Amino acid sequence: MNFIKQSALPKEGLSIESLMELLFYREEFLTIASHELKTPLTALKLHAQVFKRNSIKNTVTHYEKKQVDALVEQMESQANRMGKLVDAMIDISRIRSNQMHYLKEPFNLSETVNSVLKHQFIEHPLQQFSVKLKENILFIGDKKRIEQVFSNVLDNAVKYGKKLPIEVKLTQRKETIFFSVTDLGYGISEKDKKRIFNYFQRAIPASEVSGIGLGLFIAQEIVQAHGGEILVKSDIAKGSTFKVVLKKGNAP
Amino acid sequence: MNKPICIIDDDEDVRSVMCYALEFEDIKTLPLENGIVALEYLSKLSPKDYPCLIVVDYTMPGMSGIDFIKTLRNEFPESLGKIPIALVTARIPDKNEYDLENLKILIKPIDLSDFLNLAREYYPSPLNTHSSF
Repeated sequence: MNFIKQSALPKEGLSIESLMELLFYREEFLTIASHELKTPLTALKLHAQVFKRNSIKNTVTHYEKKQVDALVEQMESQANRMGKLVDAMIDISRIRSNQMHYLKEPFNLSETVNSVLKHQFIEHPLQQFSVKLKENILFIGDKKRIEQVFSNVLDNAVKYGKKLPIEVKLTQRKETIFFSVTDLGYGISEKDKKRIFNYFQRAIPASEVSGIGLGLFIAQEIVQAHGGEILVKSDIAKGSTFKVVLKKGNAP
Repeated sequence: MNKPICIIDDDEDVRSVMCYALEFEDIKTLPLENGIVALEYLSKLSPKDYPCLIVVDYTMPGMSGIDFIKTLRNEFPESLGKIPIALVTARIPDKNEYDLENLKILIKPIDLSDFLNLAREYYPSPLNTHSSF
């Protein structure tokens, strides 16, 4: 089980085969994107229509406050889910046209990890996390974008981790910072390890685990812009470790 | 006593709102979180407790909706396999992917009235069955 380095975008001068492959994945992406958008859209639309139907039938007054609160909360969460997907699609378009812009500001990376984890705890109340964080690690870069990286890596661990405990570590050795997330889920084959960082690519077919296949691609793009890298170590059916390596003083 | 409508979807938000929509119409529901869990649960039921309709999502972990339907109909052709099924999907599956003749399809985003009309086909409204009300 070795860490392997991932290469970024496909290089210039593509063969016909790889162009065809890109076209195929673009088609697949459109299918997945529309599916992924339609799922929260379904929940949102049904919520609104149930409410409307009951309003017309005048039974809406029978809603208790906590029912209304839950309904509105769920509608908001569906809208947020769709917003995230649309953001990912906009990011891809920015990356492809070299339009990603990064802020350069000092921030406390340990606090960033804590805040990302707090969101995960709320979103996945049943998921177990074991967390080891070195406090007060300072870093210079784009805080929001780095937050997005941690959040994408954690989202994947939850999604592919078969609900088993997830280990999260933030450590620092000299000037190098390591953020690692280990799950005990599906794992990734050697062949897929090279694929999953490309856009529209996923190790598990879309019909089995939902997802748009952009998270790692975007995460890697952000990390590389910060002079870092993402390493993956995985055994099929045993789980995966994703390690984000950032170097102090390598800000974009 | 009407039999419940079984909703199989790994997406908790969609599953809960589908159940919620039915329960508001006084339709009993049986929510299950994916195809694998559903096969295990349904195979343990006695026929009198079978749902009157199964509504299953296409995209689910471990086993797709289509694979769930195939397994149910192949392994239990004379019992569970006879229960009417509706597939929920964002796109219409290819004809060669599955024989869709015996399948209802609900396209995402689902419309509440289509969903309730389908439910009423299998779960008659008490207003229709008891004319005195």
